[in-house]
Amino acid sequence: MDAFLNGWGLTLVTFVPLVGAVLVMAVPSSRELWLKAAALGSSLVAALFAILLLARFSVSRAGELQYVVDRPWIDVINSRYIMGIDGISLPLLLLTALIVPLCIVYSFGHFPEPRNPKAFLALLLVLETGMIGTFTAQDLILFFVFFEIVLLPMYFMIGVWGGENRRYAAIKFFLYTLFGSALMLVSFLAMFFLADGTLAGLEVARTFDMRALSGGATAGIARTSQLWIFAGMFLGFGIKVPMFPFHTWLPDAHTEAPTVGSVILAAVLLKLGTYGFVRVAVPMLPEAAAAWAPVIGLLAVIGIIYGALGCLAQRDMKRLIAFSSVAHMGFVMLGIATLTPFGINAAVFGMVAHGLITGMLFFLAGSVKDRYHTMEMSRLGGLLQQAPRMGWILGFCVMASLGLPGLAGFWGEFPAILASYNPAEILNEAVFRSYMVIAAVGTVLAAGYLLWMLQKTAFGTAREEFADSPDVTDASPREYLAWAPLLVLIVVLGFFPRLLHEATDPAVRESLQVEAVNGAPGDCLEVSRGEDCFERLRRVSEQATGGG
Amino acid sequence: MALTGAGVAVAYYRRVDRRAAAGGAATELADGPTSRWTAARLGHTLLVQKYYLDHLYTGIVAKGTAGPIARGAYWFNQHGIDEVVNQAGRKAVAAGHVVYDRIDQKVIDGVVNTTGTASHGAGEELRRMQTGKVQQYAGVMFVASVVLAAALILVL
Repeated sequence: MDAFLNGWGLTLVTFVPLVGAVLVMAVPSSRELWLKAAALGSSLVAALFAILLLARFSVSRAGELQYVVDRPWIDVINSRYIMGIDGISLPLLLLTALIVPLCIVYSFGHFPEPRNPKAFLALLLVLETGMIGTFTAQDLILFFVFFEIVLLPMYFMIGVWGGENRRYAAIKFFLYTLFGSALMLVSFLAMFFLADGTLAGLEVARTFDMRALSGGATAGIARTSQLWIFAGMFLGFGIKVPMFPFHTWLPDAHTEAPTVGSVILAAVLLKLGTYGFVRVAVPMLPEAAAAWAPVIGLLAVIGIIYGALGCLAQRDMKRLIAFSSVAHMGFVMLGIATLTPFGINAAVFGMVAHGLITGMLFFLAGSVKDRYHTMEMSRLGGLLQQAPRMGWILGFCVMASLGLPGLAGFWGEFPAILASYNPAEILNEAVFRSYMVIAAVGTVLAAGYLLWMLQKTAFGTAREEFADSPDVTDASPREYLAWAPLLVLIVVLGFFPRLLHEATDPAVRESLQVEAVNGAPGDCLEVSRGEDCFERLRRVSEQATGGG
Repeated sequence: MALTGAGVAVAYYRRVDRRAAAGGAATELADGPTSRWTAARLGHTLLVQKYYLDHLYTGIVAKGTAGPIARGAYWFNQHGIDEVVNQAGRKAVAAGHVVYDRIDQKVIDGVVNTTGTASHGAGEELRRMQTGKVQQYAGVMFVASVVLAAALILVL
């Protein structure tokens, strides 16, 4: 079993959904039941593989990549088919493998107009392959391919099954993120040409191998080049997160997307950006990360306050939840900007927590819309009276989202704020402590807009137009089925954050380790005059390549 | 002295209580200090309004943030940041039109079309030389070889 998982586990978990998509396409459209079975079945098989990978994952070695596959792929550019997961990728892989089957179950009762379940389910499965692949890939070109695969199904999902303004939202989403990806690709290429794989023990100098690039191969790149390369990645990943001021595609995409699309956008797609920072940008270019960190932190705290203000100005429930993502992802980015294990652990926790909680909130928004046919908060109200169970679930998720201790959201926000009190040695303490204060104010605003939303939608009595509406019923079994795992996880992770922390911590520490080359100083981030440390590292690596 | 003070306070409260039972405001007396001195009245109002802290919190901080500040930020989002994105899109389309209409269709395709027209024209001209008269061909050949020979002599 272990040998099988080691060789095939990651490939299977990544590509089973794609096979499922082909299967779905092969089933005639008239057989809706078969379509559903094929889609749910293949996503469950993928989830089963994900669980097997979890079961055989060695937590004590969570800092290293496991289940590594390394095969030749595109020899001309030295790009290899390398896959592997460590403690950072594993939770996100599990989150994806969990969310997709839940989305499929949720969509069973009512496919959004214009229905066409065949195409809808197939796209959902293609999306899953792209998302899982991004978390498992360990070669930059492979990573890029998966990163881009995600765009297309989402574009169609918004453009075909979306709301009134869907065309605008779809094309904005696609072009905006593609613009970032283009710059990101240029950065990847620059790294390919400038880094030296031999420093990290490879036989060739030019490489896309992510293990080598974060393992010292980039030590010899000049500081200015590093700053530019990082800037390109910053745009690519920052747009995906989305960071202020690159966030404007998000409210439109979220508002127009069908419920399931919004859930996947919030739960997984945004994490591709933050994961990129944690996996690619920071470990590969620690020197540039340290130089950019104050900017990232600043944009993060602006995002926290700005996103919250944006929420307070909304009249549309779904758009409010979308804007809250800008604020919440600000906390994640603040954690990353501290460049400390504590901060980045918080960020990874924040990603998972936001995925569960905001995913849930979008599910609820979708269900409210199914019942009331509107998202206008001035017309909603009285959910607790008309559909008490759903009202309570909404209340629960609002509490989780505003960071109530004991629920998952808390462990994403609070440690991120705490971490900015003590950023990495190389960073300016005063700057980050100011960020801490601003971020803390953001939590108050978060409570403000979330409770206001709850009050507008759940409290009071329903308006006359909906008082006797037969559509307004309490949560259905199908909805419970889709929501229960998320709700349980929100509580479990809230009480036992260690479950996640144990896996992420060694991996985060490993990713922040600045590799020593031939006895040169390691850990430059923890030296207060870090630039000299990096300079020494650069000299040593020049000697190493000159000598070899 | 403390006892006296306490006694006075108790007596005052009793009086206030009686007034309150009679329907007046519990803290105000018709002939009390608040009706006699402006300063006392202002102080009294300040106390009744709890130093206006509630007004500050609800009226100014909370309503201000949720109202004008949030609306302003959102307005900036829609008409500032997002406008840049939309304008970038529109300008790209406009640039596409300029490139297509002015450059692609006029200049580049113009060159292509001109080449076509030119070769057609040249063909028309050359066609006239094909007369079929051997003497004329020999004459052209003679003139051409003279020109070539002259060119060779000049160059070498």
